[in-house]
Amino acid sequence: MDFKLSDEQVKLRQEFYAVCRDLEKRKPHGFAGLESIYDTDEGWKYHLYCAREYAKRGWISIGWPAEYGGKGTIGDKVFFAEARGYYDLPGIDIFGPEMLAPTLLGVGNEELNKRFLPGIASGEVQWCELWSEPNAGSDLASLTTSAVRKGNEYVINGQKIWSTGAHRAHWAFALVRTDPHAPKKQMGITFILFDMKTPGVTVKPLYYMDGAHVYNEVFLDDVHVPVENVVGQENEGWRVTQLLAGFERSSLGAIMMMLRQLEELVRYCNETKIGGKLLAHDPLIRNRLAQMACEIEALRCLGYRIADAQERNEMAGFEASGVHILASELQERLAWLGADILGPYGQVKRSRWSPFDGWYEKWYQQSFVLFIAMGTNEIQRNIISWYGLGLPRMK
Amino acid sequence: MDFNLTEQQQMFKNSVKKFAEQELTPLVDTMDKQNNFPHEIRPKLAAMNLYGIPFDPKYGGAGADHASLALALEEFAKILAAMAIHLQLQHVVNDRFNKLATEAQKKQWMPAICEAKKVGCFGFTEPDTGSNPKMIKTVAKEVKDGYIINGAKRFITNAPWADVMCVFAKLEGDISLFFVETNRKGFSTGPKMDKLGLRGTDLSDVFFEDVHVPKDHLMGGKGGKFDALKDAMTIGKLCLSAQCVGLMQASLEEAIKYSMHRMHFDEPIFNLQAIHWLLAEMASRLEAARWLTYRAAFLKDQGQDTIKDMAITKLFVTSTAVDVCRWGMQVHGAYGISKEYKIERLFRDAKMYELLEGTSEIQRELIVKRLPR
Repeated sequence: MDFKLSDEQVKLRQEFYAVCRDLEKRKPHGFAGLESIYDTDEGWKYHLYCAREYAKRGWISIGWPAEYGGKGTIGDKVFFAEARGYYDLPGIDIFGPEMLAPTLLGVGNEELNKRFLPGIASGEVQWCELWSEPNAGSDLASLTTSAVRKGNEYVINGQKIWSTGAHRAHWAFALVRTDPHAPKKQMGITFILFDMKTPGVTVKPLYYMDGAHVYNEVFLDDVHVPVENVVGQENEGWRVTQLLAGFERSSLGAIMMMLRQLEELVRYCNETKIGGKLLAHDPLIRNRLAQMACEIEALRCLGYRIADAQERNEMAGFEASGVHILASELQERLAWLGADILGPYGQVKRSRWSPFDGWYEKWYQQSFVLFIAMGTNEIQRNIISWYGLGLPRMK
Repeated sequence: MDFNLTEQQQMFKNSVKKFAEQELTPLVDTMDKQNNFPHEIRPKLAAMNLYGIPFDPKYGGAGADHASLALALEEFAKILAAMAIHLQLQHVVNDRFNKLATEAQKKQWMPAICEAKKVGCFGFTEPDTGSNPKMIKTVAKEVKDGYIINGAKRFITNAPWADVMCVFAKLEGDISLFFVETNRKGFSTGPKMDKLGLRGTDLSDVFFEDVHVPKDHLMGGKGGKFDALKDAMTIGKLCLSAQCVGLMQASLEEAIKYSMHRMHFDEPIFNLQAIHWLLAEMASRLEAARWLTYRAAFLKDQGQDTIKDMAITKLFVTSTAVDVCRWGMQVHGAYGISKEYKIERLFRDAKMYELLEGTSEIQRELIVKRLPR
């Protein structure tokens, strides 16, 4: 075992942190996480600005083959995610760089790669994912949105839901049913790309509990899409979704964001007096801060372990499910801790009365979504049970 | 970074695993049910060179690293955690000799402990002082030909049959460290304590009534040994954490095994999603605890272990072990509380680790004082 970073890794990590530190200085007031990227024009502009800054340095395409402008390794990508997480920076969304790009590199043809990878690498083309449907969430293979081939096109009809950022995205990658008579529901599904401006695409907001516009319903009514936009083969879309090998799965971005929040809370407790006594002297608060520090450190170590295994191509998918569960649950507890420490101030939306620019009022509500996004924690536990522990698969 | 075990570490782990399965399994009842220590195991431990894993071979050690020590303790704890505690104590005592004794003393004591000819124990905790080292009341007074020690120590593992003890005492108002042969006049031990878990590791009080030791029994000079105590506790915390990883692994394996055989409405509970989720939770947390422990061992080997790192590791891993063993018990249902199943011992043993080498509350204090401001 060797937990040390190489000199090159240390240097690269420092560079990521330095650039991210500078970008943080331009962050709009009250910017907090995913929600801020999609909810306001200001947040979206900042997201695109960060993306361009990363693109200038070739950082969006880290880990890609050199012929598509790529450089570095998955490990480098982890350090980049870590730095962005620490400063809670946008600029890389999960859809284009993290999901579609590795998919194209895995199963896309030369033409698709040349058409779509440059837009992702430059940050100029932003993507959304149209997978979930009203009756197909965790059981995604039950999707019913149909794509009927007519000549050189598919005509798509159906409804997608929980589509993050669909109202901002330029393009979408969708799963559609091209063979409704396939013997198994996982068969007959096709992975396809289309422009969100295509006639027949209607995006309607699904407002989150705090009123933010992040998620959407997307209605597809006779949407015509050229057949060359299929990724992989027709009816083999399910297999395509299983090939997200390049997807960085250490959760280190989220873990580092928690570390930063913890540091800020400690600073706050060392500066803030309640009843003439520093919060930092309150034994209950000290106890909870220490517990949080300890759990963040444990997760950070596990995150590095997953990154190391992924870089060696030795990772089993269920390991990432474990860190995903632990990180999402800890994020919720951190949100609670922050709200508890701030007391009545924790309820106040961004204003002159709200510490941390209103972060905790927002984060308390946002943190819940982490149990659900990218597969609920219940599904993650199933994955660990089935693939990690060899338990029987449940219907 | 490389999270894989080296070939040497893997081979060592495999050999300890085999040894533990063969030699420790028959001792479970002796230790846990009868609360006795099986002395016949000691020469076998010595033959495997398990009493001095990270120490220099010239002092009888195996010349391996702390990661190997952690792996050995993990494998021991999977079978019989109480024996792992015995092993840990010998390492803690030898570590003090290694760092603070003279060359002659090292040569006198370390090989003897490694070869199971002598047994050591470690004395810090007192009846009125557990978590606050500065409050210890055991005192040493300098006399012409040595020191006279008076006081009492509590919860001293191995004390009833140890040959030598490392003792913290106040000398001229500051904490000093001595080693004391247990056959010296005035040295006595109290009755063996009966306890919740880690049974069979004999635990008792120790009393010093005008115990005289020569000058050279003062280790590392007068005073300033609060640091030596902290250093001893970092190796202790690593050892405890490694044992908790073993306990958790055993708990998970027991829970899976039980769930495959326990029938519920004509099918094994292994088929129930509720059980799957408990097992998945156990597996996830075990994995996080395992890598944090290995990292702590790595830091120790690099000489970069800090109080904060070790406190974080100890707090996370020991509290996780309590959770994981409790969930393992939950999988067993009512059978979990029965002596017929191993899980009840794992559950009892797990709680002990939250209390040793500083309670969880003390670890949190150590951590919070060292958070960046």
